[in-house]
Amino acid sequence: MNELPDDVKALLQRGDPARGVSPQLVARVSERLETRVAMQGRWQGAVLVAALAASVALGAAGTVVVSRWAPGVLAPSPRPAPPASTPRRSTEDAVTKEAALVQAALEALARGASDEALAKLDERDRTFPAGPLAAEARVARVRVLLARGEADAALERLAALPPSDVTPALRSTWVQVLVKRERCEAAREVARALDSAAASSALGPCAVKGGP
Amino acid sequence: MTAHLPAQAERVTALTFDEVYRAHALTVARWAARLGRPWLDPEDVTHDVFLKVQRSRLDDIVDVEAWLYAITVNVVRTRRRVERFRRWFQLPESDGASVASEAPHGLDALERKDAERLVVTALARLSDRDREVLVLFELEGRSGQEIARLMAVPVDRVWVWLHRARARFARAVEATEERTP
Repeated sequence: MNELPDDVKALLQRGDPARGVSPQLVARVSERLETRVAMQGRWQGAVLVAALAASVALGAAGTVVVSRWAPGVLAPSPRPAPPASTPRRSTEDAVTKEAALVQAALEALARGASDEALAKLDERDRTFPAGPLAAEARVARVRVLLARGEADAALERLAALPPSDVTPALRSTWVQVLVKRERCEAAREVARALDSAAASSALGPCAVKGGP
Repeated sequence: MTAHLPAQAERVTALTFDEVYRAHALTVARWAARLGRPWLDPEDVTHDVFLKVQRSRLDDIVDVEAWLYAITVNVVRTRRRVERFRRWFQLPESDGASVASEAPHGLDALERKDAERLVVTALARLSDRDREVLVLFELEGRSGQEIARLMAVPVDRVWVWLHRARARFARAVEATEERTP
């Protein structure tokens, strides 16, 4: 069997991509997991409260439903472990289908077919509520709403986007929509994350404090 | 697949999540870095892997390391696909610039960073299988038997894959060096 040439072998060792991996990374992941578990606990508590409220409203029928949400059941329920060689086909197929729906929505938007775009995004949300392309779908929906002239709905969704979803281009659009609606203060606040040239261009008449 | 498991793959009973995390988190993070760079942040991959572990029945696991390896490989492949889609949609993404973000400073660090960039670029040119077998053998220092166990294949197949992966990696390094000014 051929060996790697010595210089390539040495390069591979010297440039090991895991060189930056440290116990600090492991500690950070541990913190993230703990935060998530704590949040999950709060969410499950909320579900229980909602279910109990429902039982009061629904009487006996509700009690039957609530009995299925006993505290023991609400604790993170272990699911069957995947076998060591989990087939990846289903995951890949799911991502591919989800991407096809988002892509179809964007194509429909580009054609000006905003109803069709919304339908595709609704289908994506129904079929893959926890899919990995949620960020893309959220941003696409904002763009569709803007294209339909539903600025208030778009602004509402923009404000709810996690910062990581908001690209500079989308932020500029957001600023321009606020400017159009003469909400200069909000526009300036949103524009703060842009570089000065982009901010000034997007802010237009709102660039100067005291503008319209 | 189970037929290829060697005898040393012991059944571990009554494992808790904390035990699995303490014993394997650093290993998973290294796999993530070696298999996922430059597209993926090893911290995110490690987080996803242990999130799946949290949701699993640990007492059903026969070979914890092989199971974690399979999850890591699946997470890396899926996230890479997502990153590719993300690039289409022009959303923010992790890029090669973040490579070795925790590396020390100085000339030595610069040289290492160059070497790392060369290695991750060359590894990125390989197929998933080539990259996996090469990382496990050359960087992890695993034996053929161990790789066979982790990848759930017969050991003679590992040697064939390794033979081909080495040749392709050497060519990829050469091609990457030629392109680097």
